[in-house]
Amino acid sequence: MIELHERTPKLLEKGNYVRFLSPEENFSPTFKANVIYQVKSNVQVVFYTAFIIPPGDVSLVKLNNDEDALGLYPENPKTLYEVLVGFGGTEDIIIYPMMPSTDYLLYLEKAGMRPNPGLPQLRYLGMYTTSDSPVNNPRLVLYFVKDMDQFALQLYNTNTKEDEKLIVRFVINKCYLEEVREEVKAPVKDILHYKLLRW
Amino acid sequence: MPAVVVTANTEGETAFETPIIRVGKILGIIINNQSANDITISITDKFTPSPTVTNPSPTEKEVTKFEVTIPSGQYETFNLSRSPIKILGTCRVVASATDTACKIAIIYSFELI
Repeated sequence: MIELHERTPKLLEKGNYVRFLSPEENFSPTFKANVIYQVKSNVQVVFYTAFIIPPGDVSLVKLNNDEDALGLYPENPKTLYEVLVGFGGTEDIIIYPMMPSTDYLLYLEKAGMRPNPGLPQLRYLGMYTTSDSPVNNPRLVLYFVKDMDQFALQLYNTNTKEDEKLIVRFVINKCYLEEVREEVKAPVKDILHYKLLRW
Repeated sequence: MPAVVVTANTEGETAFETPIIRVGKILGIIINNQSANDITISITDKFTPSPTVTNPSPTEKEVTKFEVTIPSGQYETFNLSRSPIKILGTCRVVASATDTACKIAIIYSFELI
């Protein structure tokens, strides 16, 4: 559900195939795991937003469809959102992916090797800065389907003297999917459940 | 490159509004104080921060980014192109006296990254 590429990846197109991988029978309430779906139609929607974070402070930006969130999850049970995310504005704000929104998504295997903005030696673990996925060359991709667990970005302003602004550009590739029952020989794009990122 | 000229005013004059998805950068300031008195000029940034862990309901705030006193009859230029002043919201010019004989020019740009 989250991928950081070396360069801007190609978006899914009409006719492409995807498969959701999950440790459970279902990837989400609306999509089955290990079943192949085909993109029947798609369209790209661009959305810019920005956040001003006070010195040394932390903000939690939820991306799902809650009242206080950005609303970047589909409502249609057959829709997949493939979201390219680019950051601009300042290098001083670091961005932690959170999934579910109370847990850091990315960490290492040794005990204690988890992000911790309060500890300088662990502050820059499992996070992104604007240069990891710049606005004009986005490399971070997220995948959202209806009623998925809540994904969030935790924004931490490392500048202890000044407010900083982070600009975020989302390119949302709205894909309408249909289940495929016949055998598929073409390449299939695998989309991993976040629980598969924690082995 | 855009530029704006305002006159000294104790209430403050808006120089420019930074679009939400841009960061304003002041690259130069020119102050021509032909009034009879010395005048202190403050450049401020007015904005509302995002809700945070420590402040879930933030209110608008105004931060002073640059301040200088120009003696009567003086003309001063500040080239800030090497270290621009960042403006996140509304850029305002606030003076210690109201006088149309004191003019302040701001040269600025808007940037995405």
